[in-house]
Formats: sequence, structure tokens, C-alpha cells
Amino acid sequence: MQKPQPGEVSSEAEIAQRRLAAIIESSEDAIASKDLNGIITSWNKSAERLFGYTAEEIIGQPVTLIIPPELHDDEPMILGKVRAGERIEHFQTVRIHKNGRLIDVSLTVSPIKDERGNIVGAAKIVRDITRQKKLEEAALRLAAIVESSDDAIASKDLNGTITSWNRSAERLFGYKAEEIIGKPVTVIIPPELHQDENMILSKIRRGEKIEHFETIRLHKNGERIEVSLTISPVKDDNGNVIGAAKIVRNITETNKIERALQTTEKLAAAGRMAATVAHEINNPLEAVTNLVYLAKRDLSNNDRVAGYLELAGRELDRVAHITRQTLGFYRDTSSPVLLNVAETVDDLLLLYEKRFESRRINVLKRYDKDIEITALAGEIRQAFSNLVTNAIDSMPNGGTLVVKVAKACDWSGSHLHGVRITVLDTGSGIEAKHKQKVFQPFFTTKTDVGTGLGLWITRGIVEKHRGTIRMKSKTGQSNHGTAFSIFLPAEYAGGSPQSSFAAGEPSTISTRGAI
Amino acid sequence: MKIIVVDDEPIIADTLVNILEGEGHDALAVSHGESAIKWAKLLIADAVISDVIMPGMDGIETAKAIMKSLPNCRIILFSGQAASVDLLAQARAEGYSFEVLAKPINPEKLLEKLKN
Repeated sequence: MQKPQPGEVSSEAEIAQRRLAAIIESSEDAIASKDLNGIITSWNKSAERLFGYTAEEIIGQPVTLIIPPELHDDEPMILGKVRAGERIEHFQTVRIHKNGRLIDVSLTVSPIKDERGNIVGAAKIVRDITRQKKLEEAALRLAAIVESSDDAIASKDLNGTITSWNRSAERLFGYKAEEIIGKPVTVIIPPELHQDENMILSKIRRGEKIEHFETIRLHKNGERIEVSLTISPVKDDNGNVIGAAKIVRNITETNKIERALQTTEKLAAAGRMAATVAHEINNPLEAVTNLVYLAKRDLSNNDRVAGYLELAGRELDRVAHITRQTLGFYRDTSSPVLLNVAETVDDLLLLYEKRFESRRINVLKRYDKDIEITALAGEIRQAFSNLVTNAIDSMPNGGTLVVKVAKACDWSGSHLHGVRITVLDTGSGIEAKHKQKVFQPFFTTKTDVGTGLGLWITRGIVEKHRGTIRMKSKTGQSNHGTAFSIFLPAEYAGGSPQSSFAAGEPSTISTRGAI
Repeated sequence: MKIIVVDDEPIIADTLVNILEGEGHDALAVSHGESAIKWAKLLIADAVISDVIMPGMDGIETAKAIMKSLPNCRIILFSGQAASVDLLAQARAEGYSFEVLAKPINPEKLLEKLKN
């Protein structure tokens, strides 16, 4: 090629070449070329910046200088392709900076041909994708976090159209991502709350965040879900709000538990009050009982009045029975003792033998006779006797009572060893609508004699012993009955004996006389 | 039997005395622990029936004092209040064991008990 003489007008080819050279030199991408032996033949400014070598330093050097040793094998492959006239596009690989740092790059390699069309080298465009790679990884990591989050996470644009939907959102609302993306967010908002959405969107447009906004949303099946929403504006690179990201937490269960706790606490307080009142009643009851006894004794020749007093006496006995039996007049203040469960249970069943006979109730006993636990004996008797009296009351026309005592392990996973006492009757069973309520104070179906405190007290005793109580009941025509099952740990780890009012035999604490 | 009945509610003590007298016992109603101890010693009572929670000296203190001077006197405590349980537990810790009945007592059962 002839050098242009001063004053001479450059040829068009020359102008084109200079233009190209200028473009290459000012390109943001690193551009270099090499011959077919892999020797670098040109090197632009961006290549200098990217790899740290100046053009003077590197031209004439093998290209392997900037290829990590473990990737040297790639080079013959690239050269082979170039020789075959092929172009390599966006080949993602790693190169080395002069200072040894690795750079993620995307290569585009094109063959260079001479005037006769022979391939004489390769031109490379190298783009630094380190930042892009990092962003991609960060995006993937974020996506994985969002996808695996237990909270439902979704996003919408400023028109309220849903733009993303994670797996928890699918679970919470019942809509698959593919069926809801593109739909208006009002699909999951109850009609009466649609105006809330305008409020939310206008806040988001102003760039404000909404935190822990408790509201109601709709499941696909129409069910209402209590949720807590946190909504943040999504901004583009220039800081413009382009949409909103929502985190939705289901608080239905939390709220349910909270309400149930409040109810239980209220009922428990009422139960305690009833117990206190019952105790206050005992003194006047004592006086009236004595007076009725005396009136009857001192009455002569008035059979009618004697009859009334007889009835009054019997009614008083009933009141006394109710205050004592279910409210467990005496608390068991003894210390926990080692007791044989089968013996304790069997002794108690003896008390009810007359009633089993008169009701034609057949009793089956299945005891593991060697189990011993440390427990408050009086309270355990009370708990067990409440179950037995319930079973008896459930079989007015006879039936079978099964009492089982067996070694057991805790159901709830604490793996405590202990005993399971099961009391099973063949009565009519507990109706489904009552099942939730049987352990609540004042719940009773025995309107004539029940106080509705028996099972509540039983559960209190069991829980005080760190045990559990379960109930199963069937009300079928041929298959009916109820089974209560108590688990008690072998070692007493419960609260202080004084903390409960329920327990013990109704009439005496100690049978030993003081003489 | 010579029986002292102690209760801070006179209607209870009086009616019980009446019931006991009807069965031929020699009974006396008092309303404080102190007078119970005094009369029990004076009459050499065979039995003392005492409320547990009373103003002043409680039933257990009364019972302990009577046991000291009259080791053969039978003592029956009766109570209508859960608070008595704590007092009884304390007495038990000190080595005392008392016969305790819950109010209201069925009068027939009380009479039956005294026969044994």
C-alpha cells in the first residue's frame, strides 16, 4: 500500500480504513486481532484498559498470555474454527488481566481474510461481562430466595396488573403463577375492599412503603384469608416508580389462635370464679343442711311436711355433690408420689362397681401391671374418675367400658416415656359440633347433673403433669362410642401442687385419725 | 360422749350441737379456738369438732393445743374453704395428721363417724 503524499487526496479506501481504525480505537469493547499462530497483531485502547497490557507490550506476544492455563486447550479449538472460516459469537469464558485477576468475558471471533480470500488471522471483540455476570447471579439468587420464601411474594405494575407470583403465593391464594400473571390484582381483593387498592397504588406512586397492613384477601375458592401486607415501590434505574412488590403473610391462623386463647382465658377465669363461689356456698349450705335435719327430727305427726323436708334434704345433698365432685373441693397438696398406675386405676373402678352392675355395664380391663409413675395421686384419681363417670353417663342402657393402661411415649415429639390410660365406652358418642367444646369449662350435655367442669378439670390436671389428653368419638349407627386417652410422663415435672384447686377425694384428705 | 363444737358461725355450731344432743351426746358450742381449748380441758372432752379457718386461733392451732393436754381426745376438722388446704399441708409437714371433713357434712354421716 502506498503512503499518501502530502497534499494528495486520500483514496476512498484509505478514508474508509481510517474511519474503521478510529471506530475500533474508540470502541467500548476490547478489540484485538491475532494471526493463525495465535500471535497478537493488534490491540485497541479498550483492550489496554481491560487487560492492563499496552499495545506495544503485547503485540507480537502469544494470545495465551491472557488465557488462564487451564483454558489453553480452548485456543486450538478457536483457531481451528477460525481456519475453517467460522465465526464464534458470544463465547463466554474467562481471561486474565496483567495483574492476574480473572475477568468474565464474552468473545466474538471472526476470521480475517486477505484480498484473495485466504484466512490469515482472527479479529476478536472482547466484552467484559464481570458486572453483568454478578448482576445475573444476584438476580438468580434473589429469584431463588423469593421462590422459596414462606411468605407469598408478588409484584404488580402501577395499573395494578400482577407481574410476578412466587410459589408461596400459589399456595396461599390457590392461583398458579401462569394463570394470574397479567390479571388485575383485584382478583384477590374482596369487592368491598377494592377502594383500598387505589389508596395503596397512590401511596406506591408517591414512592411510599406500606408496612404490616392487616386486611382480607380472597383465595381462589372464595375463602377469605386474613393477611398482613408489606408493599414497597419498585423503581427503575432512574428512580421512577414502575410498580410494587408485595409480601403477604397469612395471619388467619395467628388470629384464630389469639382469639381462641382469649376465649380460653375468659372461660378459665369464669371457671375459677365458679370454683371460688362454690367454696363460699359451703358454709351456708352446712347451716341449711343442719337446719333441715333438725326440722325433720323435731317434726311430729306431720307426714306432709316431713316429706317436704326429706326432699329438701335430698336436694341439698345434690348441691353438695355438685360443688364437691366436679369442683374438686380439696386440692391435692401432697407431694408427687411413685404410684402403680394399674393399681390406682383398679382401686378407683371398685368405687363404681355398684353403678356398673345397675347399668349393666361390662368392664374390660387391659393392664400393663408394672408401670409406675411419679404423680399427684389425688389429682390423677380425680382425672381418671371424671373420665369414668362420663363414660358411665354415656351408657344409660348398658354397654362396655374398656380401661387400658399401657407403656407409652409422648405423641408430641418430646419423647418422654410414661403411661397411656385409655377409657373407652360404647355410648352414643360425641356429636361433631360438640367435639371442639368438650374441654371447655361449663360445657355439658348432662343438663340435669353436669357442671361442665369435669373434662376441663381433667385436662388441667393432665397438663399440670406435662401430659396430654386426646379424644376420639364416633356417632355411627352400629359403630359408636368415645375414647379418651391420657398420656402421663413417668417423672413428675409439673407445676407446684398448690397451683391447682382441682383434685382429690371429695370428702377426706387424710383418713388417719388424730387419736 | 362429751363433744366440743367450734365454729365462728354460731348457726353452724348451734345446729350441730342440737343434732349431737339429739343422739344423746353431751355437746357444747363455742366460737373461738381459745374457748374450745379451755372447755375441752375443763370437761375432759372425748371429741372436738372444729372449723379450720376462724378469726384468731385457727382450727389447726386449736387442735394441736388440745392434743397436747388431752392425747385421747378425738379431733375432727371440717372446712368449707380451699384455703384450709394450705394450713393442713403445713400441719402435715410438721407431722400432724388430722381427720378432715368437707362442709356441708351430712349429719347422719357425721353421727355414723362418731360411732366408729
